[in-house]
Amino acid sequence: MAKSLEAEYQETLHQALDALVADFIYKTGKLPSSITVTELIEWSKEQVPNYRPNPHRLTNVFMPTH
Amino acid sequence: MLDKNILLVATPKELEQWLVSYRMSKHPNDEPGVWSTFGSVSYHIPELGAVTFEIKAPEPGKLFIVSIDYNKIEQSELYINELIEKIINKFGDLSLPNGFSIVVSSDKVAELLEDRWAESVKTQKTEAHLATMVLLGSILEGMLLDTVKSNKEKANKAKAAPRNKDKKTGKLVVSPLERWGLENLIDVCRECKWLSNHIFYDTKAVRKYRNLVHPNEQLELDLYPDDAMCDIARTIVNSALKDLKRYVKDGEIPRG
Repeated sequence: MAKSLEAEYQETLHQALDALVADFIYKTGKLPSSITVTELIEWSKEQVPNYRPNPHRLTNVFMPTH
Repeated sequence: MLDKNILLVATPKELEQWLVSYRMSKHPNDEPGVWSTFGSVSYHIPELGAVTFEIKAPEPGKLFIVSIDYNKIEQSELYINELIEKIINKFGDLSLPNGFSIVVSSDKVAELLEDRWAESVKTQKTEAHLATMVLLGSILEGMLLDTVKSNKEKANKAKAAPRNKDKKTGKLVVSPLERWGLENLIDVCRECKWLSNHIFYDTKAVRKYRNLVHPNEQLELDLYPDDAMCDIARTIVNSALKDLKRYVKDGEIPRG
């Protein structure tokens, strides 16, 4: 059975979160259990000072050609 | 009384609930026969009587069975060992391997590596595979770095030790330890015969998996970590630990 787009979207988010957490551990040496989600987001934001959200980055999952 | 130090990835409640269901599967018509008080979980085995696990829960989701109290009767060891094996199979598949404290130079480093191991179990259970790889790679790096640090003189003589030109003399000198990467550590440990050849090749794979944290490397290798890869990496890190432990015990790696 094909995955629903919502399920696929959730998987995309999980994969991105895994990559973010892995990058966080690698660069800071800290453990995810020792911080809060807010701290993780703050750290993530510090890595992208000129962050501009790309409207299609995550919603590509919902594009007909995906 | 049996002194143990078994780390389980579980809460005391989860251990208690599992003991209830395990007991009910063996003795469906009996009472659950499990009760817990602060710091201990007791389990009634018809053949043995009460078995009490003294537990310590240093943090949520992690507990240590520090000792097991039971009546010593004929074959009681058999029952206890069977029970411990079942508990480890349930909660300890990814449990902390013994011996960090043997291979590293201080309890503090051992504790740090143990924390990372426990954390890697959590990330693997939540299918954060890339994060798990980074953690397992860091455990390997930590063990090898500590080994090199404690035996700096021999390590610095290794051909594989990274070198850079001294600005004043123009001569090649061994780079300071903080500049050594995981690859250097693996190569030097092999050259110094602190890692066996087969473990050497396996640890190279862990390094490769760890480096998937770099998007370019991941794209180039077209490799996306999954649960099976995490299991492989965990087995390799555990094997490297056993290998180092053997060399420490044989006196090949001097300690203190």
